[in-house]
Amino acid sequence: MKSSYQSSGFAGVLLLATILNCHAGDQIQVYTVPKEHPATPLAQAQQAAGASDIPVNSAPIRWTLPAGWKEKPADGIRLGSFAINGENGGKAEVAITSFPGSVGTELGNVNRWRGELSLAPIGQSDLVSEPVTVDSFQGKLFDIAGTSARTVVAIIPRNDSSWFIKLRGDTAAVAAAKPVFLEFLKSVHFAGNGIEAPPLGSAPAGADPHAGLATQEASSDAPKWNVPAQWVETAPSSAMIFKSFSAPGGAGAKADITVSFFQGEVGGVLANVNRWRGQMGQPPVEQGQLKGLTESLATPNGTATLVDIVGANAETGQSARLVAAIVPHGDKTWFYKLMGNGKVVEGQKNSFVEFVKTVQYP
Amino acid sequence: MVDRFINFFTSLRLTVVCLALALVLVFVGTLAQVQIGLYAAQSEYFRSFFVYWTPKGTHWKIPFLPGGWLLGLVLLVNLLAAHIKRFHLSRKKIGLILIHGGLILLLGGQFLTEVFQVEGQMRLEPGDVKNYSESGRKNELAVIDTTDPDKDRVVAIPESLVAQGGEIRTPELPFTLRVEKYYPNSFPAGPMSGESEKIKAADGIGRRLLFSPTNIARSMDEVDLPAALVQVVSDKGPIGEWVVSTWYTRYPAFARLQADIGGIMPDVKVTSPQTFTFNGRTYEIALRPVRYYNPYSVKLLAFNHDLYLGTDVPKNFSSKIHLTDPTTGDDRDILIYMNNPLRYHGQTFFQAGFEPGDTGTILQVVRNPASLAPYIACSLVALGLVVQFLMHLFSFARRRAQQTKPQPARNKPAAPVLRPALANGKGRIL
Repeated sequence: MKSSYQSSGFAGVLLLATILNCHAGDQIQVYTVPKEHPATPLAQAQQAAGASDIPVNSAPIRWTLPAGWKEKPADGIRLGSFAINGENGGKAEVAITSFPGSVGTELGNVNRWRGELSLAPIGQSDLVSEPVTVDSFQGKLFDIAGTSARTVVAIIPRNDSSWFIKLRGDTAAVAAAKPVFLEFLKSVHFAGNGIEAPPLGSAPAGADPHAGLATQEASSDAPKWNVPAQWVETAPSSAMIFKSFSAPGGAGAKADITVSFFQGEVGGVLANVNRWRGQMGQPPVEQGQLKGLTESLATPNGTATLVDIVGANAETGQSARLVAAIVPHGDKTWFYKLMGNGKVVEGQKNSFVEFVKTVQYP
Repeated sequence: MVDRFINFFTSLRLTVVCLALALVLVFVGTLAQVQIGLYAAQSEYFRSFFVYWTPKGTHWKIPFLPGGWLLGLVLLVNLLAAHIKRFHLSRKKIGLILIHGGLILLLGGQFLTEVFQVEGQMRLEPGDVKNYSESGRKNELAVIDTTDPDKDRVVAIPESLVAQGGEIRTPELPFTLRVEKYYPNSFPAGPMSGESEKIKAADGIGRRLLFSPTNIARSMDEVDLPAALVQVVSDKGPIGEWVVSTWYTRYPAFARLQADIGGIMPDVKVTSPQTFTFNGRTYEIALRPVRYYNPYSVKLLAFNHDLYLGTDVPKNFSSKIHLTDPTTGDDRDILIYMNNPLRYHGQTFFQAGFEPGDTGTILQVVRNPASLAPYIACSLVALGLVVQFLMHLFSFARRRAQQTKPQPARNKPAAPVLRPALANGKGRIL
């Protein structure tokens, strides 16, 4: 009795296994679909959508072009591309690409690059790299030399993406270009790592205007300050900006003053100074150089950091000057920025510094 | 017979056997991760009814262990059956019934989600129009008749059939596909590279761009990129031979490959379709992510990626899309952003990611017929707990009220009743 009960159970289970196996999805499917529409050009699509006010794409990466390198147009996949002509007709090129997540392992990448150089694949234990820092992100530098060609690649994981900056070419040309390439890596800056975000005012219609604005919602307790008489309050160009003023100069020249505050350290002094230097078309500096470029400013609320940068407005290309103060207060950091025509900024600098000193925080 | 059946499913022995098998399954499945990777082990051992063994050189699939779904299902039936057999329906137990019903619905709902949920991704650049999403892991060999100027006829062959190798014949195609090589995971290799094994095709990109096999992906965030060498043969002889691979079709692999070969083969565009003609009709052949088609289309108007000022901390991602559904007449703009998905026709479109440089958006498209089950289950459990608590509270309050009510005076005090017993000299209270 018991055995028949067990055998019927076993038979049932086998039958179920067979039925389920038949439904495992190994079926060929046949269907008819309309042909895919090719993508319309970006501008056309945006125009059609009436969405031209929405910033879709901003340069995701910036760099300082080394002398002797020829920049080639980016092609959508390569975000930066450069040609290097070495001595004796040797050639090399640099390509910057970025991909979300990881496609294959580090070893897989290296073996693919080795394959390009007609080298046999290596094992994990043979993988050799040097540490490299690009825009404060830690990455790895691989140097793979073939018989006639050589590849030097920096892999920089950043947020959810991997960035690849690859120098490849004739052995002699790459050897000569490598020191310049390493300097080039130091000049690279990623978007968002100190580059200001698109203004919230341009968010698509219907977007939650309060999304992520916790830092600014605390503005009900506004600070008190003495605004210099010649400054005119203007409408902030972005919801990120707490208050903005304009200081007129002669012949249409002017400077703008903005005040913003955020929770926490907001990247620290170096990141913000480099962000402002970027806005003034200046190369970034290292932590060690910061001391010579900033000065401490005593305010009733503690010590602020003052920075003065002369250069050219990166957006307009016109010569400009930027004076900014970073004031940590409580759990927030306040940013004051005076930027505009060099002469106007020169005339307004003292008023600006005094203004920063008069602020009484809530 | 029925009694035996009931006894079998209500027996505690079945529970113990299932739990013991679950232990074995977890042990074996964990070990299998070393060989086949985390994702494959989860699929084969835990998200399956049976674990199959395929003897070398055969295509047999012999079940040798119950899979996670079967064990979960039997345990659920076992619990339900035991409950039904021993449980007596009464008004007093309505709270308990609701709680257990909710738990069973939660388990059953999760099971249905595992079995029936379809999850894909839709990658769109501004201006792109798509009426399908693509699987994140599953692939298919698509042979597409593109002769008609308005529509394509697709014959989609699951990767599992390609993996078996040999000939694939179907009445839907006027020719036979002969899978000469198949690598479950691959990487591109140059013609001069030193790999011992690589596939090279007689036609298409595969003449110049070769593929070598590599170990299958071990982690959940890596995806296998298979490659196969497929010969198309008619009854009159070979038509051609192509290398097909998701290196050409899966994002971001194709972008990655294009960037890598850009300096070596600048004229090769890896996403170009590989085509051939047969009997006056034009066909495309590609190994691509499995596509889930919708009766409506989505066009990306714009993608927006906001950051907190001065930081690279994302504040908001949003995709402005235009939805066109000829079956319902829907034709409207919709904004999808974080925590505000689009729910349409049983599918949910989440803002899942974006391409580097904000050049496009990635929407997660999920169809889950049991998506409401957790909400209903939690509501049932909460209701059951409230009912149970209130019933206890009322009964306690009633008892308390009775205890505090002054007792009516009795005719005879208790002591005299006891007294004779105590006094009987035996020292026992009777």
